[in-house]
Amino acid sequence: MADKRDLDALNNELFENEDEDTMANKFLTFHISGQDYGIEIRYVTEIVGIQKITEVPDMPDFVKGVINLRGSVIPVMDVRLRFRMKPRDYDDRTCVIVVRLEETSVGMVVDTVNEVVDIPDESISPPPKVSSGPGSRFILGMGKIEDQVKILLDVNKLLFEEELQKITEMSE
Amino acid sequence: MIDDSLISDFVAEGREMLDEVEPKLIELQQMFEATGEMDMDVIGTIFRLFHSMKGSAGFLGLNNVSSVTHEAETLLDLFRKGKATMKQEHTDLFCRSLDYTHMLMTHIDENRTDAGFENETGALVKELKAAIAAEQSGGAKPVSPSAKPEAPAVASQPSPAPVSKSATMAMDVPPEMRERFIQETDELLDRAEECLLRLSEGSSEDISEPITEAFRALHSIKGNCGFMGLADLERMSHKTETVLSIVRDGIIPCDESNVGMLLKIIDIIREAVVELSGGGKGEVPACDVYLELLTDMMPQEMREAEKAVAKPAMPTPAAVSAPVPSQPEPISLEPESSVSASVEKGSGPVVYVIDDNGSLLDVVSYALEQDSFRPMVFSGAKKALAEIETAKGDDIPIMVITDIMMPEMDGTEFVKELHVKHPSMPVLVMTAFGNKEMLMKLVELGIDDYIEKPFEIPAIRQKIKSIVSKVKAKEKEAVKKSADMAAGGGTKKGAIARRDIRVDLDKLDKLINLVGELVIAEAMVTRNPDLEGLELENFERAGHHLHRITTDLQDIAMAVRMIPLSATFRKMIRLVHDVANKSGKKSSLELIGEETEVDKTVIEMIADPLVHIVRNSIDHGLEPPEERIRIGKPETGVVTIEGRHEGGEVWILISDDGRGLNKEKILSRAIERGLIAGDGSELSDEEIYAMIFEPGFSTAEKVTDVSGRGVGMDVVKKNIEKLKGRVDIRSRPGKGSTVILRIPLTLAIIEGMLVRVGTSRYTIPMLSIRETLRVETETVTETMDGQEVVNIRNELVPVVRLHEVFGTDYDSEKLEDGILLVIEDGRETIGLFVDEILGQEQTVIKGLSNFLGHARGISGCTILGDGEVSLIIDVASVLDMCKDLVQK
Repeated sequence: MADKRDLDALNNELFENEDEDTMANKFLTFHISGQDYGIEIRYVTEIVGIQKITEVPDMPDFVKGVINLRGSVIPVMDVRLRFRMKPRDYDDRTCVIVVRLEETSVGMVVDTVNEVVDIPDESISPPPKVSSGPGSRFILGMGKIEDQVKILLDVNKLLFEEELQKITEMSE
Repeated sequence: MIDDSLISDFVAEGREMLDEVEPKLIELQQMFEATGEMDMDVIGTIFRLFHSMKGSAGFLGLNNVSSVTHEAETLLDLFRKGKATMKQEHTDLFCRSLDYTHMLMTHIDENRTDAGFENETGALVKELKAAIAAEQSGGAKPVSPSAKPEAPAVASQPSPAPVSKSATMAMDVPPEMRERFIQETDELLDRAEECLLRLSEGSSEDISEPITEAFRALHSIKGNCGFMGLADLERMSHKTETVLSIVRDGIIPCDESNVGMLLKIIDIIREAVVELSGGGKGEVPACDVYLELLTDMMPQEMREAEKAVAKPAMPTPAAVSAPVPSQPEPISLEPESSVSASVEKGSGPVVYVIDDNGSLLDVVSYALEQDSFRPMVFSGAKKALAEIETAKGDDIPIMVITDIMMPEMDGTEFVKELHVKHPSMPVLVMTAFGNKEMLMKLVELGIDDYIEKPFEIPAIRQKIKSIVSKVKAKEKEAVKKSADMAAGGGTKKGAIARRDIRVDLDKLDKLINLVGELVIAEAMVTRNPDLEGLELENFERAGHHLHRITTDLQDIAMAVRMIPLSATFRKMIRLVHDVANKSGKKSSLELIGEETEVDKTVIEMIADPLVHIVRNSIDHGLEPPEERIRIGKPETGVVTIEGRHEGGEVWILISDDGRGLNKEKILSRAIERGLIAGDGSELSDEEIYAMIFEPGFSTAEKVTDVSGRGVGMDVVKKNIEKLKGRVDIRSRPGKGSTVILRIPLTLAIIEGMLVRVGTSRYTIPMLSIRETLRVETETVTETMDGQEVVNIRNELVPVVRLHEVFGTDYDSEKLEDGILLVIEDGRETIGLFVDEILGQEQTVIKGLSNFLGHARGISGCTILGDGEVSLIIDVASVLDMCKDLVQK
C-alpha cells in the first residue's frame, strides 16, 4: 500500500529530526478540506493510520474517543470537528497525528498528511487580523512556501483551548 | 560539599525513624501509667534512634537537628539509666521534639540545610535542658515509690541489673533492628569500598571527597556497631575511621598499599557482618592483628598517643614486650583449667612449634608446658609438614606456632601447605619483623594471631590460650551447625542473606504495566479470531499452561506493591493521644490486623481519611470521662482500628465504644440543609448515617480545633471513592459506631464481564454484578412514565438501559431479547440492560487520559484481546446517572 510506505517514510523523517536544533522551524503539514495546515514537529511523536476508535460518552463532539496505541490508550480528536467543519467519513488516507504536550498524548485525525517542511521565521506572517470565525484562535501564523500558504497551528491551543467550545455554544 | 543524595537518604531515614519512634513513645507512656514500669527495651530503642539521627545529622552539618536530638537523647538517657521517671510532660516534650525534627526534615528536604531555625532550636533545646536539669537534681527526691530508680526497676525486671543494663540492652536487640543493621552496614560498606576504590584508581582527582565519604560510612558503622554491642566491629571501624581521618588530613599518603590495607579491613568487617547475618556473634577473628595493622599505618607520634589512651579493656598487641595489660592472671580462667587440674605435664594437646632458632624453641616449649600442652618442636617447616602428614588421633596438633623467616621454606609457604590439608588449623606466627606486607599475606592466608619477637612468656601463653579457647568455641559451633544442617537448615555462606531489596517505584510500575500487557497479549493469542472453529487440542493445553503462568505472575507482581497497614495504623497512636488530650477525653487505641497488606496507592489514600475518622470517633463518639463513669462504662474509651481482607476487598474498620451516631440530630440537620425532602421517615438508618459524608455536613454545635467543620468526612468519601471503594457506617446508640472503609484489593487488574451494547463493548466489574438473567415478559411491570421494573424473586428491580445512559446505538428494544445484569452498590440495586454478554475476563485497568477530564459513568478503560479499547463502567456513578435520568 503506497500510503503505508509514505507513513513509514514520514515517521522516519520525524525520528531523524529528534535533535532539538534541527527541529526548529520544521513543520508537519497535513490537509483538511482543501487547505494545508502545519504544526511544529517537536510536538509530533508519530503518525498512524486510522483505526477503530472507541467512543467515550459525555465528551465534546470533536473528541472522537480513544484508541489503543501499542498498549497505551490515547484520546483522539477530529480536527475537522474541532474547526467546526463538516464531518467526513474516514478512509484509508485518513491519518492520526499523535502529538505530545505536557505529558499528554493526543491523536489528531486529519484528512491526509503531506510532508515535513522548513519554514524560516521570515516566511511566517502573523495570523489574519480579521477573523470570520472561532477557528482563527488556533492559528500560530501563516507560513509561505513559494506561492503556497500553510496555516500553522498552535498545538497547545488546539488541544487545550476550552473557551472556544463555550463561546460557540453561547453563540448558538 | 555534602553529597545531595546523602541528605536525601538522611531525610528519608530520619522520617522513617521519627515515624517509628512516635508510637513507641506513646506506648511507653501509657504502659508506664498503667503499670508504673518503664519498658527498658522501648526506651533503648528510642534512644538508639535518636542517637543515630544525631550522628548522621552531625556529619551532614545539620546542627539544629543534631542539637535537638542530642538533648532529647540526653534526657532519655536519664530514664534509660533509671535516674528519673518519665512523666506526661516529658512525653509531650519528646513529642514536640519529634514534631520539630519532622518539620526540620521537611525543610531540609526542600532546602538542603536546616539553617535558619536557630532560634526555635535554641528554645526547644533550652526546654529540654531544663527538663534534664530538673530530673538530674530532682532525681534524688522520691517521685513515686514504684518507679524509683534502681531497686524497683530491678525488682520488676529480674534480668538486667542496673550496672549491666546497657550491655544487656545491646544484646537484646530485636531481630528487625538487627536485620536493618546488617543491611545498612552492608550498604555503608559498599559505599566505603566504592570510595576507596575510586581513590586507588584515579589518583588525579581530589581525594578528600571520597575519603570523607568513606569516613562517614565507617563512622556510621561504628556508631551502629556500638549500639548493637559488637565490640570487635566497633573497634575495627573506629580504628579504620581514625586512619581515614589521618589520610584525609594528608598525614599519611593515600598510596596503593594504604588503600589496599583499608580495603582489606573493609572485607574483614563485611565477613563479620556476614557471619552475624548467619546467626553468629559478629566477632572478628584475629581482630587484634588487624587493629595492629591499622595502628601501624599511623605515624609514630600518633601511635604513641594511641597507646597512651588505649583502654585497659582492649588487649592491644601493640604492647607485646610489656606484660599483657589486661587480665593479669587469665591463665587459670581458661578452659584448660579442667585439664591442668588432672593431668601432669606434657600429656595435653599437641602443639607444633617451628623455628630455626633453637633457644626460642626452648622458650616456647617451656611456655607451653606451663599450660599442660605437649610441644613438638621442629627446626624447619618441611619436617613439621612431614610429621603432621602421619600424625593420628591425639598426635594431631591443636595448633601450630611458627616463625616466618626460615631457611628451606618460609612461613607463608608453610601456612599455605598446611591449610591444604588442615584448612582450619590455627596458626600463631612469631615474627621479628614489623613486616607489614608479609603479615598481610599471612593474615590473608588465615593465620589466627601473631606475636612480635622478642616476647615474654606470659604474652605468648596468653596468645596461645586465646587461640585454643577460640578453637574450642568454634568446634562447638561447628557441631551445632552441622546438626542444624542435618536438620535441613542448610544456609549458604558468603553473601549477606538479604531478604529485601529497594526498588525504584517507577520500575515496579513498569513491571506491573508489562504484566498487564502480558495478560492482554495472552488473551490476544488464545482468543485470536483466526483460531475460531478450529479443534486445537495441543494449542489449548499450551494455552492453559500459559494462562496459569500469567495468572501467577500477575499475583506476584501485585503482591510486590503490597505494603502492610502497620505504619499507617501506628501513626494513629500519636493522633489518638493528641486528640484525646485536647478534647479532654481518655482513650486508648487498639490495632488489629496491622499485618494486612494493601496496595501502596491505598496506603497513601487512606492516611487522611483515617485521621478524620479517628478524630471524629474521639471528639464526637467518645463521651467525656465523667459521663462514661456515670453510665457505667469504663472511664477510658477504646478506639479500635482493624484491617482485614474480606472477599475481594480490604476492609478497614474504625470503631469506638462511644455514644454512637445521633440519628435524630443528623436527620434534623439534613432536613434543615435541604438534603432530603420530607421528614426522612422513609430513610433507612444507613441512609441517614451516610448523610455525614455530605460536604459541609456537621452536627457539632461548636467548631473545635479538633473537628466540627464538616470537612473531614467529605474527604473520607472522596478519597475512598478515588480508590473505587466505599464507606459504610454502622452505629448503635450508646454502644458506639463503626466506620467501614471497603477498598478493592487490586487497583490495576479486576475480573470483569464484557458486554455489548450496539457496537460498543463495555466492561463491568464482576464484584458489582449480583446476577445475570434473561427477563421474561410476565415479570416486568411498566409504570405510567415508562419505567420498567422487574420482579426477581419478589424483589422489584428497576431496569436501566445502558444505551440510554450513554446515548449510544443498540440492538435490542425488548427486554426479553437482551440480557439483564443485576448490579448493586451497597444500597441500591438496578437491572442494567445490555444486548449481549461476551464473556468474563481479567481486565487490566488503564486510566482515561487526563485530556478527557471526567467521563461520567466511566472509571477507566481496558484493552481487549483484539486490541480494541473497552470502557470500564463505574457502577456507582451509573447509578447516580440513573437517578438523574429518572428526575428528568
